Amino acid sequence: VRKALVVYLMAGSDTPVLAEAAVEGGADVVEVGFPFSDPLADGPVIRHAAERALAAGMDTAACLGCLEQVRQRVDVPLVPMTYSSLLEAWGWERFAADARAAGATSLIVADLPVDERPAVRRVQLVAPTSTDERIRLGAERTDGWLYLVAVTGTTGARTEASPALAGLARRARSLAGGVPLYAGFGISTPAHARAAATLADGVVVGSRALEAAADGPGALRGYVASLRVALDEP
Amino acid sequence: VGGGSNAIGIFAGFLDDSAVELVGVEAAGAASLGSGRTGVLHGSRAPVLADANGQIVDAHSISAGLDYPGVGPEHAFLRDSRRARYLAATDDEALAAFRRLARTEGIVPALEPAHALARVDELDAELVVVCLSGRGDKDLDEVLAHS
Repeated sequence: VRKALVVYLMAGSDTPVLAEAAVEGGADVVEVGFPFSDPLADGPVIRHAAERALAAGMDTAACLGCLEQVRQRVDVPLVPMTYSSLLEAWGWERFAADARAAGATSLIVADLPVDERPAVRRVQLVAPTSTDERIRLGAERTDGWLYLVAVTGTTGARTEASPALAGLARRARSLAGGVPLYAGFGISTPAHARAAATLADGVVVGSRALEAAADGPGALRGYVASLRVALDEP
Repeated sequence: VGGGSNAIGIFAGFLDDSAVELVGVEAAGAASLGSGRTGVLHGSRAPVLADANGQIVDAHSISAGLDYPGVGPEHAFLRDSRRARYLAATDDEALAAFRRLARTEGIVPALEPAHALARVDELDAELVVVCLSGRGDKDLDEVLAHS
């Protein structure tokens, strides 16, 4: 079974071209970050990318426009990832509707607990600290796949694969009733991706993808392809 | 009232006593209750200093403890239910109140409660209790720099 590869990019003027490169490299899903000033789930790489994006004028309307341009170039699922404050300001259901109209297939709201805003369909996140009850609820309400946050910490590359993922994946596997499990946070190298994919159905890469993207679409394509190869090895 | 933890501590003892009026004072440049909008910061949906897109904007206060763009949601509830009301004081007003308490009482207050002291004269009450949340030794450099 092919393991899913999700690549995170920050919304910006280069994002459509970068998304195309990621898909050419073998990405199955593209997450588009809508920057927030206080991104508490993110480590330094994504935080800085968000600051730069905001300084460049990537407000909610600009991000929706970016999403639309990405959609014109790629046909894989597109998932905006952002924070509650943007939805509170834009209008929760209006945000979800406008994102969908711009080409989004789902949504991730990193700081929104599973029992809040049930009308906003989204990918739910669970972490090593989530109780069994919360994992079950997250799986029940999630949109398509369940996001396994592999660490008790923020996004960003780590040297070692997370020791907490195995336990979380095992619990989620028994509680999630067949919902696909994708692991993210701290996954950066082909070896990490491969190790995480033995436990989960897919992996999400963010910070390292942004670093590769900083060197242009060719570098991003090459990085994503290296992950694809590692995931597809028999 | 900055993030509001100190204020909610002293309010807690009087919440059920309707004879006691509760007044909070925010820094004018960090008045999430006075001039903020509803946003989500650090896991709470509450009044925050934010732009129309929900991006958090910088707070400003001469007092480090008040220099925060959000406030605990319980204060928002007390404001909306009219159990407490919230005023603001500028940096200059806080500095003047700081000096006044030092000169008249020999007490050097921290700059945070100096904001509350700045509004005390305007309250129409027989007895006013001010939570003097800390001492001003820590703020002397800041105050001297402004004198």
